Amino acid sequence: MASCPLSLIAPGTNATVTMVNAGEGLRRRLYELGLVPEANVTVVTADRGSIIVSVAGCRYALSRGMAMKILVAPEMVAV
Amino acid sequence: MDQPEGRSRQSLILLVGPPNVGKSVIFNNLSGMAVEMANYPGTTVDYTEGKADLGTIQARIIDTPGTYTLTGSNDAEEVAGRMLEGNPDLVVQILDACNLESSIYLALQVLELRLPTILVINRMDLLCERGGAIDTAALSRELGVPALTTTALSGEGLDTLRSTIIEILSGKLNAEPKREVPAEWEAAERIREAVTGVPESRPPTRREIIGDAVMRPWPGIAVAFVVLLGVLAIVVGMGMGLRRFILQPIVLGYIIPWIDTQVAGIVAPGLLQNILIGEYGFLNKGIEWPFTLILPYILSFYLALSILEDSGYMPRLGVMLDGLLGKIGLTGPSIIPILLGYGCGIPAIISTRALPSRKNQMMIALMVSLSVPCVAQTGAFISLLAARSVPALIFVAFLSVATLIITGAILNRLLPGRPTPMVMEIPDLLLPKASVLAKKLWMRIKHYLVDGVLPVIGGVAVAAILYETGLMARLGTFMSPLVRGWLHLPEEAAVPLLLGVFRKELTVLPLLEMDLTTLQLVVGSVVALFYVPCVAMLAILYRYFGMRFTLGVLILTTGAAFLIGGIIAQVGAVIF
Repeated sequence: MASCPLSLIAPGTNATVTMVNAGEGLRRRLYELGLVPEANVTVVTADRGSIIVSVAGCRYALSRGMAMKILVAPEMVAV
Repeated sequence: MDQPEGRSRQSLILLVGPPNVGKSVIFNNLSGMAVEMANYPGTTVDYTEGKADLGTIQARIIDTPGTYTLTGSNDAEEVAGRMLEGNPDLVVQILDACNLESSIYLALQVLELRLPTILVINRMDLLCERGGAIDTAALSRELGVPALTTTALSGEGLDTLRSTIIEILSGKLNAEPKREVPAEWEAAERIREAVTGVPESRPPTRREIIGDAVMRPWPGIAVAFVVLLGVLAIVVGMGMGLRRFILQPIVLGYIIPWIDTQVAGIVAPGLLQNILIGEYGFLNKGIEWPFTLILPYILSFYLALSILEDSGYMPRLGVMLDGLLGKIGLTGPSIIPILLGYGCGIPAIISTRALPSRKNQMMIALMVSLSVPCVAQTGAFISLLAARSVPALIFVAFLSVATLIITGAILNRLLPGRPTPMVMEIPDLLLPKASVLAKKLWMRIKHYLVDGVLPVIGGVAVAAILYETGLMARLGTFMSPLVRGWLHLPEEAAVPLLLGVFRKELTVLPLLEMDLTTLQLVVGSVVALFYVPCVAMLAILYRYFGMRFTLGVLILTTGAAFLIGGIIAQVGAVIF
C-alpha cells in the first residue's frame, strides 16, 4: 500500500501510520500521543491551518508542518 | 519529600496522570480543597498539596501536573518525575477511559518505579457514551495492582476510591506491583486490547459531531464570532446590570449611609472624620468602589470564563485562531493564557508554562503585562467611561487590542527562537455543570474579597491620608511636569499612579472623583491601561522569568504608558 504524508489525506479518511519522519524530540511527543507506526488515525478536518486527527477516540490538532512528517497508508474505501 | 526526623510520618499520596484526565477534580474531592480545574490540558502546571480527609488516617495528598511520560521533556513532566522520587506511600495513577492506551503507557512507566499504586480509570461516562467498556479485573491482573473506575465530575466511584485508599494505607490491601511489564507502546497496546477488546467501528456521537464541526471554517468561524460576542455580552451586560440594579442600590442606598451615620456619631468633624468618610474616605469610597464598580464585573467575567473553560471550547477556539496567531509567531494554544489574562495576569503567566517554547512564553508574558487589562481594571474602565462617552470606551478597548497584536508582531521579530510546531489535545465538549460553575464563582468571590477588596480599602486609606494631610499637594507639585505638563491631567492624578502599583483598578477609580474632560478621561485610562503591572504580577514574572525580564517589563510598561498617554493628550489638545 502506498504511503503519503498525513497532511494530504482527505477529511473523513481512515489511515494507518507507516512512518514518523521527525527528530527525536518531536517523535517522542507524537509517540506519547499514540501516533506511532501501525496506529489507526482518522482525519477529522483538514483546512488551511491545522489538521485535526482522531487517534483511538482522542482528537489532536496538528500543524500542517507536523502532519507532513507523518506518513500514512490510507484505507481503500469502496464507494 | 523531606520529612523531618522524629515526627510521626504522615502518609503521602500522589495523584499522577495524563493532562486533562480529571486529577484536580479527584484531588478536590479527596482533599476537600478547591484547586483550579478546567476542561483543557495544562490547568495544573505546578503541584498542589493538600490534606486528604481519610477518616483516622493522616495523609498529605499532592496533585501533579498532567504528563504523558516521565522522561522530563517539559516543566510539567519534570515536576511529576521529581514528586515520584519522593517515595510516596501510594501513587493514585489516573487513567483516561477514552484514551486508555497512552494512559496505560504512562502507568507502565510509573509502575517501573515499584511504588504502591492504585489505578483509577476516570471519565467512564464518556466511554460508556461511546459504547465502550473496560474489564477492570483484567487490567488489575495485567498490571499487578488494584484498579477501579470513576466518573469524577459526577462523583461516581469516588467513595469506593476513598475507602480503597484507606484500606491500602492501613495495610489491609496490598498495592505493591506484582508484575513487571516493560514500559513500551507494544505492551500498552496489548494490554488495552486485553481489557477492552478490539474496537468496533461506531457512528460518531452527537458530542463528537458538534465538537468537530466548530473546528471547521464553516460553521467554526461563525461560532467563534458568536461565542466571543456572547462572552462580551455577558461580561459587559450582566456586569452593568448587576451594578445598576443590585449592588449599587444596596451599597449606596443602605450600607454607605449607615456607615456615614455611625462614623459621624462617633467621630467629630475634622481631619479624622474626613479620612474615614470624606472625599477619599476609605470607609465610603473604599467600600463603594470594590463592591459597586468591580465586583459586578468579577462575577460576570468569571461566569463567562468558567463556561468557556468547562465546555472544552477554548482549545477549539485556539484551533480557529491558529492561523491568525501564527502571523505573529504564536500558536493556537496561546489563546488560553491571553483569555485568562483578561481575568487576572497571575494565572495567565502561570499557564504560559504549558506552552512548548520559551519564546512563546516570554511573548505572552510581555503582551499580557502590557496590554491586557485585568477584570478589575476593565470594570473600572467601564465605570469611568461608559457613562460619559461610549466612543471613548471603544477607543480604549481598540487601543488595547491593537497594541496586543503590534507587541506580538514586534516581539516575534526581536526574541530569538523558532516557532514550535503545534500539537494540541482537543478535549471532549462538555455541558458545564451549574454546581461546578457556582463553586468556581464562589471561590473567585472569596478570593476577591480577601486579595482585592482589602488592598483597595488600604489604598484608599493611603490616598485619604495623603489628601487630608496636604502631602498629596506636595506629591502633585513634584509630579506636575509629567502629570500636568505632559499628560494635561490635574496634579492630584499623581496619586492613582502611585496606588496603581498595588492594585491596577486604583489607577482608574480615583479619576472618577476628579471632574475631568472626556479627553482627560481617555488619557488617564490609556496611561492606566499600559502602566506597570501590580506587585503580585511583578512577583510572578520575577519567579518565572527572572530579574532582567521583570525590569524590562517595568521599563516597557511605564514608558509605553507615558509615551502613548502623552501623545494622545498632546494631539487631542491640538484637535479639540
